[in-house]
Amino acid sequence: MKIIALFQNEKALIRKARDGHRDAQQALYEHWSPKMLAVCRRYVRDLQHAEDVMIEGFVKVFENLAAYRHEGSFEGWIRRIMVRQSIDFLRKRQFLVLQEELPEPAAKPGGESDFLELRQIYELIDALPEGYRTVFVLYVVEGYKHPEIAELLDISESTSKSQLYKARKLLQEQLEKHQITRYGTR
Amino acid sequence: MAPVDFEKKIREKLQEQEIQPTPGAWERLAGRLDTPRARGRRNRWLPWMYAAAACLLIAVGIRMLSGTGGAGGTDALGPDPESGNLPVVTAPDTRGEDRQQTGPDGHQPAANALAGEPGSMSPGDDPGPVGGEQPPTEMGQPAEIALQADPRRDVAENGLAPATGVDTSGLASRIDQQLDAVLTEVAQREQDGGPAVTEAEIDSLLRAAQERIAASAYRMPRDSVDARWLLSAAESELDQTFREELFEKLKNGFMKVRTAVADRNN
Repeated sequence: MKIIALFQNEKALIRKARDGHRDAQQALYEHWSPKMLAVCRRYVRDLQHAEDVMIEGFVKVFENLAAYRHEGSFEGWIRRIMVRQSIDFLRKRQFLVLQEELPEPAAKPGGESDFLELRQIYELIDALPEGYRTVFVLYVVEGYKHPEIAELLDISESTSKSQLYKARKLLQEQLEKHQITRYGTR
Repeated sequence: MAPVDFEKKIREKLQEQEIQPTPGAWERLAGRLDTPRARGRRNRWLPWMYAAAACLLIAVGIRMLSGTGGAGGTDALGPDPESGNLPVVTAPDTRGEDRQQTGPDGHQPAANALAGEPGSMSPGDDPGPVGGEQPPTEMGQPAEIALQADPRRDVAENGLAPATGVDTSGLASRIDQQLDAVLTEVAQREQDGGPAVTEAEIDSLLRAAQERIAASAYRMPRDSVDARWLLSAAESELDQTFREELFEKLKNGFMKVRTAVADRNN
């Protein structure tokens, strides 16, 4: 109830969290952490690692709250920090290698012809090479544009476009194996 | 269903998704927030206190260096404000001590020899006034010596600039004015409903005020170099803010990662 009451004025809550009030920080964390963990999980396959990345991201959020100007949505601001934190994690672990050759699609248990369940979506996305997956998630899920992706990943726009194209092609092959006859059946 | 619709469905499903963190995640995060750096960020007034302390130290330092401290604006060793005469210090009769300090061979120590006529002093002689300008006093009266020449009298009489090059007239009022200006600007920004003034901006305003005070306090004498002014300028250039240090570290880290990725790709 306390958290709900605090959220009636998000701006005041953010201001308190910025000033170091632990209750306000916890309220913000408890409200946004489920969504932000899902964001990190899209980039980091292992859930435990994704949680570590999320915690690091929240440390940065609370340390930089003074820089938040209430101009855009607070969720979007946190989300961008989490995305950057996830990409930094992949870079540090040297997972983020942009492949040029299309790998063989992994044979996964077949799904139904109806639209995929969340678990199946993760199976498909996790099966993508790291570079394809990162560009695909940034473009399709987060809505980043190619120039933004190029800047974020320190690659050229053409590389970003080619990685997205190859990710789509690989997904299509996987979907065909999943008995979904076309990329986007039905 | 077109590919765009397929991707739209994926986007909707993934954006709606929530994953509950493990129960201990908040404790881990709270532990990270308890680091000294995080604690230090909580006190918004800390930079103000540091800045006020720095201004106070500068003011006290300038007053001490210029030798104008003391109650009522007069120096203990300065001239009498009414008569304009140099102060006098009563020197104790140290003849007995002089005798004790005389070496076994009967010579005066070097300090005493410099004070009077060398070689003409004997243990029984009165050393007389120190400074050479004062008329000799009668035996048995305390000797009076002028310890300090007044540089301001030199300015008035000879048109010479003081040796320190420090202009301390109205310094306290200038510091107050600059602090008031900074406070007014911060209050104005907050009243305008704009973004909250950050610590870095406050630091910047205070630094600018400090430079203005220093610039007005230290006058560069013509055809000369003021060492303290140069030192102050050099220190302000070397004083990197935390943000600059962080940016430098991030930049270095980014360049390393970029080089490593490029090497590996090659």
